[in-house]
Amino acid sequence: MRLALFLLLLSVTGCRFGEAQFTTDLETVFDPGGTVFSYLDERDANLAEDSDPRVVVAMTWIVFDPQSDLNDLDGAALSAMSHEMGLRDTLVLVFDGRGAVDAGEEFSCTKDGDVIVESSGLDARVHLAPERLTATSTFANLEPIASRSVSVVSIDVAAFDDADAVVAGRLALDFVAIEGRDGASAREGKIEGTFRAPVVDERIAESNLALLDSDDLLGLPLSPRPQP
Amino acid sequence: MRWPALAVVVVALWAIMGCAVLTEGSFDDVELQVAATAVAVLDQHDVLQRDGALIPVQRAPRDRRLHLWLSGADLPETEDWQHLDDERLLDVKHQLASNDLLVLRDLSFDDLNDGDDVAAASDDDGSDFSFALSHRRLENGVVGAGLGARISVEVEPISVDEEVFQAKLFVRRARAVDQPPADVVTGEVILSLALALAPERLGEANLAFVAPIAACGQARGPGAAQACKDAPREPIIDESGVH
Repeated sequence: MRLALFLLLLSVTGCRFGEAQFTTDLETVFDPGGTVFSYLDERDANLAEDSDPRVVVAMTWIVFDPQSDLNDLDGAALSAMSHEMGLRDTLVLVFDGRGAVDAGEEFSCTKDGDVIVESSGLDARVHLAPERLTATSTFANLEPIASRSVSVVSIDVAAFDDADAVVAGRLALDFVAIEGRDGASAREGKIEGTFRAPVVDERIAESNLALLDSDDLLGLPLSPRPQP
Repeated sequence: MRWPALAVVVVALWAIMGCAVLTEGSFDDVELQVAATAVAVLDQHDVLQRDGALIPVQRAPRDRRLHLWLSGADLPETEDWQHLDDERLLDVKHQLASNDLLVLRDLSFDDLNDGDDVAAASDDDGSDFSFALSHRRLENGVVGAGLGARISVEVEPISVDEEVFQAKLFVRRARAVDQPPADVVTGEVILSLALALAPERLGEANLAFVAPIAACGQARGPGAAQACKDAPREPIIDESGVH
């Protein structure tokens, strides 16, 4: 409860990192705009350097400073943040290589559930906040989100070497029901919006994501690249 | 007033009087304390998963199942535990793991509705349902040479329909065949229940936290059951996916 109030206070007072605004017609609010940052996955598990590192853009409702070391928080606060993150909207964009991420470029990703069926160098991982169940929640009024997601990301700014390094762009994400697979009650809809994600140091970003137990939720920090 | 409505009123009055669960008997000197919270859920739906698609379907009448759990802790069973803040959720899980807990799953609703008894035993692969019983930490003085490891549960329905679960549970501990012939704790506890059924989705979502803790607690025994507060919960499916 105290953490929720703290996070609410932070969000009201605007102490956020990065920016993201989305609209949706899914009859809900999609708000992963509490903390928005990006980093380059430059080194693998053996700290060997990747010549064309993957670019990660992470957005979550919870508010924290991704440039500070979350190791400084006590375990209870970390546990509360991790728990809260699972109950809120998050969005992660993983681009296959920094070399391709440039202003004016466009990337797309089509997924059936969590499985990529088509991609042009992008993996879009969306986690929608779980429903809050009440005594009136019934299976009769359960309308699952359609299984296919089609994401298109347009890059407006990709400055990795500047003092104010940042990745900014636009996202259009469609949930599409597939005939013969989705049920009649499947809900189609769209999420659209913009993001501006300052680039932070890889070591601190990965350490913080690990501390927040974001592996199950977001698949972060990234697993090693598959071997050819 | 129609009979089902009358039954709900009777159950509500009984619950208000604090009598939703009446306990008789004990396992020798070990009491079974599960009367603080009792939840019965009628499972009438499945959610099929197909390549990321979630499809809620209604079970055939004969496939409807009833789940039941009882705890010695007074728990907020009408709230969605997944959405409790971290501190409260930890407390709920700690309470579940450190008090007596009995979980019965997959009882045939049709059988109970027809008035038929159903039974299960820890050494019987052909049981009518599955169950788990975990105990609070017990004092050495009351357990003697240990607990009888053969557990059996028999459910004798009194009135079971889509709104009310009223039944007697006979919970027995006996010496298992592989236990040495020592003076282990045995006996029978009779639980008389009268419960209004919990909402299906909310009840099943909270059961996803309860069932793994009970299974873990039974496996680890009273000495270490408290460690089961961290038993991973089962997945919960909702509109936005599998959580």
